[in-house]
Amino acid sequence: MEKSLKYCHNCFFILFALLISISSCSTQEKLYKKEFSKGEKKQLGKQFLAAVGAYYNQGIPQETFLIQEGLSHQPNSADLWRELGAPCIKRGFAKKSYEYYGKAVALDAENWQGWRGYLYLYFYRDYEKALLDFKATDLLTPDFVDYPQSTSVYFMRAICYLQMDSYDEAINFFDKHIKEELKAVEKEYLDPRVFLYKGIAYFKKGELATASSIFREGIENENEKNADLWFWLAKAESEQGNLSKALLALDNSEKQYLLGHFNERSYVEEFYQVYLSMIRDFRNELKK
Amino acid sequence: MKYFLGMAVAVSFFLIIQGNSFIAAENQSKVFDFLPKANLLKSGIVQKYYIHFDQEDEYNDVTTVVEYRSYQSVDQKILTSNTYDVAFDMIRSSKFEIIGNGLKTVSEIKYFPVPVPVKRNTVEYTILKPNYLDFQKEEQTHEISDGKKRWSRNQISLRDTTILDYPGMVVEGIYVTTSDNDSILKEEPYREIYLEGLGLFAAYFFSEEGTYHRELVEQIHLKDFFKLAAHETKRIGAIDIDKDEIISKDEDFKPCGDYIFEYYNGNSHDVFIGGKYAFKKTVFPLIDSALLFQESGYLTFRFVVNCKGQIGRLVTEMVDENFNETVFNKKTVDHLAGILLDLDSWKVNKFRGKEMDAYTYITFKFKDGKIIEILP
Repeated sequence: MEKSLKYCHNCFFILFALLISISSCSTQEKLYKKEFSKGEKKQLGKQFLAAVGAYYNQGIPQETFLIQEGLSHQPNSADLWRELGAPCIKRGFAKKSYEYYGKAVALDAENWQGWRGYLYLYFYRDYEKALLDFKATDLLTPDFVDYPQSTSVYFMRAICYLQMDSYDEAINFFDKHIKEELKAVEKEYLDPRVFLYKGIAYFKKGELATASSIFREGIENENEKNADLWFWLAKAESEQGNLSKALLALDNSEKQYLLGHFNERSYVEEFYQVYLSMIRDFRNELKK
Repeated sequence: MKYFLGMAVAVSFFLIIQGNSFIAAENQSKVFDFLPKANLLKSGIVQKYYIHFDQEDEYNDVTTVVEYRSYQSVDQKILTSNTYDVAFDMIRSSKFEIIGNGLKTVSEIKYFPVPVPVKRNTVEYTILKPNYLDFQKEEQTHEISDGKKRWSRNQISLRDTTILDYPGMVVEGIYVTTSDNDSILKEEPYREIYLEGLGLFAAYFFSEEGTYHRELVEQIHLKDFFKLAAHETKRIGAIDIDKDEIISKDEDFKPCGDYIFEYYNGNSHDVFIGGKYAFKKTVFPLIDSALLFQESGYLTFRFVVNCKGQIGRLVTEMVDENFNETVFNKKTVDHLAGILLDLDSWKVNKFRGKEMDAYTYITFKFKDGKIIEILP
């Protein structure tokens, strides 16, 4: 009897535990979570990418979370990693920019290595690293010239060489760039900076007459509307002892500058950017 | 012994009944059939939605954004529902009365959490017609106004459905936007699908610009949602005066407005009067080379130029030549920071013709202890 009671006691204890357990389960519902297929995840990565910029300003938490949501579906989306890097590069965060653009390059070198080269060149003035990326881009796409950030890789390689004092290499690449451009556009549509930088390469080489001639060619191509080309023509003429020509070129440079015809670039200073006070200082120097 | 066993069983049943009494009571209203489960509603549940927008254009691009919507009803009479954006900021707060088989709006407030140049006020709508939704009566009209426009939600039909083995209800109707002079601006059909135990599972909104498709992707307990919402993600580059290590004293520095732009938002690329040429001309003679050491890399100062041309909130970021974090000699950092803080030719940027506060940065690029570039 006593044994039976003990057995019964155990049964009730088990029943009690079971009921408690059921009660507890009823408050811990399994929550709904959609499982996405591989195809859906790929598509979602693209759709979140398309939403970036369309809904929120760059760099605000809303945009960051949206990109991260996309990356939760497509962690290997180079484009999404690059989007994370974009506000960092514009706002001076070198470490994060390098990290995010590095991921984009690792995942899709063909599309992003040239871009990173552009950033090394313009934002960090690191010509060696930029050249490595531009060379790699050329190897990845051997049959055509890449235009990361709408700028020809030939042109940017030329600037790298110019800044590294390898003037012949620079001129070689400026010429390659011009040849390539002229396949698609008339000479009058060539960017004035091509003449400017090629002229500067000759100037730095000490070939001043050639430099002057290239600056003049650029000025003519721009219908005289370029303060930078006039300024460098003034420098070349001055170096050749042609003071009156130099002063005349400086007057034109100032005039064009005040009309707003000068080179500049968003986010960063343009290479060899000319400023009004630079023009005036040089004139004062020449007049001494 | 009998007393003990009786108590055990009674306590167990009490616990079960306690947990489910909400469910039993709710069955009186169909509203509770088509909301998240009762016990979840009681403690608070958040539905995470993806909203896909399929634009009616030649590209057929689809964009997707995230929205969270919380539901909570502690007394079976009032349902509160808040909507949050992808960064967990509240954008809408609604309160409903549960009457019969429907929801009647008690209040509706719209928030604008994203900082913008022109401050936007919270909008508290006037409820003109409260019948938001009914799962029994097909035709319902709900109308709200912000004083300038009116938005009416005209429920037209109800029909049963089953999705993923969940019984559900399809609610269809038309949203009508009306101007203050009573002219109809837009008429946009909608379709909502409510599933038993899950609540709003999907919705379609057919606008002139394209179709919005809302889909439930996840449910999150309210307490877990609040943990996610307590993130510290901020606008990239925003300088937090309480958390960031600000090296300027800022005794006399104050931004002029609530919103600080980026240097590239305004009318000028230059942050210094005369541009970088003038900056270099001013700064280089002030640099004491004895305070520069054999270091290479990038020393960045990020700061605010206010609408009066004063600078403050100076913070640093330092990386080596390979963009790895590094620390420059404190004497160098203090020396250069001191030079920047003493300058008085900062250019005030303008946005839409008005002087504004702006974040900006200046990077000194070092090679073996020499400054070889000033960026950007």
